[in-house]
Amino acid sequence: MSGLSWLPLAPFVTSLGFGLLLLWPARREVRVALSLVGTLATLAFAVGLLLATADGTVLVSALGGWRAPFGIVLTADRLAAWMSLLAAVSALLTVWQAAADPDPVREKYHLFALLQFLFAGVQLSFLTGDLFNLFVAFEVMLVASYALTVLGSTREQLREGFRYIVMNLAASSLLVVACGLAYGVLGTLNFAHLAQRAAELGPNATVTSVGVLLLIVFAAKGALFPLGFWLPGTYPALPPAVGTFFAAVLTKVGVYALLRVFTTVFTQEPGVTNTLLLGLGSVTMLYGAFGMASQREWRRILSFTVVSSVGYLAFGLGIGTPEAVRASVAYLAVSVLVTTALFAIATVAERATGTRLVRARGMLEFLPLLAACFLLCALTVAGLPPSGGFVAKYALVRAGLSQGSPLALLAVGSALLSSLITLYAMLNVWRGFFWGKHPTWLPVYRVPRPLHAAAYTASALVAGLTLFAGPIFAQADATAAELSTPQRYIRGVLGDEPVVIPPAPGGQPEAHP
Amino acid sequence: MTPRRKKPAPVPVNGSSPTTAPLTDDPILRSVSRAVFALILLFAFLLLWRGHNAPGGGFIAGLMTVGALILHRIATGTSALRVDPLRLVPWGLALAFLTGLVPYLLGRPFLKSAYGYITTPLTGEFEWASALLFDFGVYLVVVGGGLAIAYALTDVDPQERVEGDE
Repeated sequence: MSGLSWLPLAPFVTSLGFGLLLLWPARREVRVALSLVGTLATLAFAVGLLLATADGTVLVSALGGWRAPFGIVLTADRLAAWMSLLAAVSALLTVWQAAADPDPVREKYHLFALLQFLFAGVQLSFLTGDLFNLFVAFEVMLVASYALTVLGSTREQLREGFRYIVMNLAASSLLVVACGLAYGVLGTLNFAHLAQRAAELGPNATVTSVGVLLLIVFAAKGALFPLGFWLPGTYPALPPAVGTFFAAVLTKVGVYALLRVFTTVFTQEPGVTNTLLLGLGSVTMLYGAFGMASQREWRRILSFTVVSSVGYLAFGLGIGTPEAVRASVAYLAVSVLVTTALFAIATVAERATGTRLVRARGMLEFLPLLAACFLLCALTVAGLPPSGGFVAKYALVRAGLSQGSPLALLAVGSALLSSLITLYAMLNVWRGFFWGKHPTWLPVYRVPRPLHAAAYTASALVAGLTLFAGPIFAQADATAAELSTPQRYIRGVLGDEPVVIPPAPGGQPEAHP
Repeated sequence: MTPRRKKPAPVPVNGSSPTTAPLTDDPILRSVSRAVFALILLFAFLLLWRGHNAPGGGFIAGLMTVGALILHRIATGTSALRVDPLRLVPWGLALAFLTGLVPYLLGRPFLKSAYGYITTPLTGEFEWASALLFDFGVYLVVVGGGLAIAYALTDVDPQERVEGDE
């Protein structure tokens, strides 16, 4: 174990620790400062992880000092570090927004602490190296998100929160069942050990069905088409800052889990799961795109962009070639950042007009810089040339074409079609909100400067996606290469020697039929 | 907008208020519950004590304690716990977290337990472990959370009306 074995735990421990600290009754300034410090520290550790894993090391941190297949380990490879960094960036902007937008009632009931717990759960899900621990991480994340969903108890929040909770509880129970089955079949829950044993077993119907069960669970978490019905209603009901993080990161946790499980762990029969993912992905992007075109409210439209982006990611995973994985990893960055930026923009837009509706007309006059930011993000979401979205979508489509199976070609067609519809929907927003002449009887409110600044910063990051497409794709390349050879991950976690299960103590020989 | 709801009646310490009378007035239940309460608590503490190395632990001990306290509440209509149970949760969490954090900050793995042996004439050799503190944190969280849920459910007033019900 290297000297950096403490690092994979650091983002999780920092978030959790600051979350606990924030439960202490303190003045608002103190809480805001603590939240910002905690999130910045998490971000710093995430950057540290990215640097430490850049050369392909797999960092392993054993909880309580119990070695890999026996105890719970936290592992960080390139993919985990990448996701951890994206989540931390989005978290920082979320806390920024929450700090800029005082909300005495929700803050009294620990908005800031719950946000930190949410970040802790998200970081743990990205960095865990154990299937059951992944479930625990999901629960930490979900408990915090349930509280955040209903915090404030507006009728809309309670109604939508109920759907969200029921859906996620059902998915979580299924995850426990799948964990049990995986343990029953393979006798372990450690990702690396699962992968090793699944490989020893070869293609096996039981293992594949466990994989499909996991796929259903993660599809529900990631809001893939038939299981994502709760998303477009729930996210607009949330307070703006919280909604930003939910939209940008929570569905990506499901996508990350899919990526991890189907590139590292269950790799023996990729045909079944990839076909499913391709099908679900292509339907999801179209569903998201049509949803976008059908809505009239800022954050409802944007929630459907989240659905659509998950569809693209599932499409990338479903193609299954390293080239497609590379494009998906790059698209993950695009999607997280652009969703954060769009929700930050929507917050400012809603506050400036005092309504959730897009149809305000002529706001270009009052918010010129915001209009520029929105245009950039809209182009990124639709995937048009000068934006980072284009680069990533182009890579996805190319990967789909070069794979060449009929289903992949169909999915490429649906990707292009949904991009077109997305563009139409985004232009609709542009026309409705920014274009035209502002009716004089409609008021325009002042929005706090820090909220503006959050939207601009997030948009600057989106612009950075274009400028730094080279390094991002280099990282994505390395990640895809690492994911296509799971042996390196397995060796990093379990070491070079084969795992020996010691005999049971007390002289009882292990029963072998 | 927070829906206005009637403030739930506070749990009376002497049980004299007519609205929150004991759920049952069964004298048998009341006299049996006293002994059973003590027995369950003793068993819960045993589970907590041996939990770090044998079947048991903070979680199950906490659940047993919650069971005992709910029984007390049902039999007598008063809470045996003098503090708001929800206040226990953050303290328990903090205790458990700090127990894990200390070895982490000292450069050992997170949650690594220190342990040793003490021999007293009364108990013989006993293995102590810092995991016991972690368990106690878990215990506090479970007691606080479980009781808060149970008390919230006993305080439900079916006649209650919330803004917008009609």
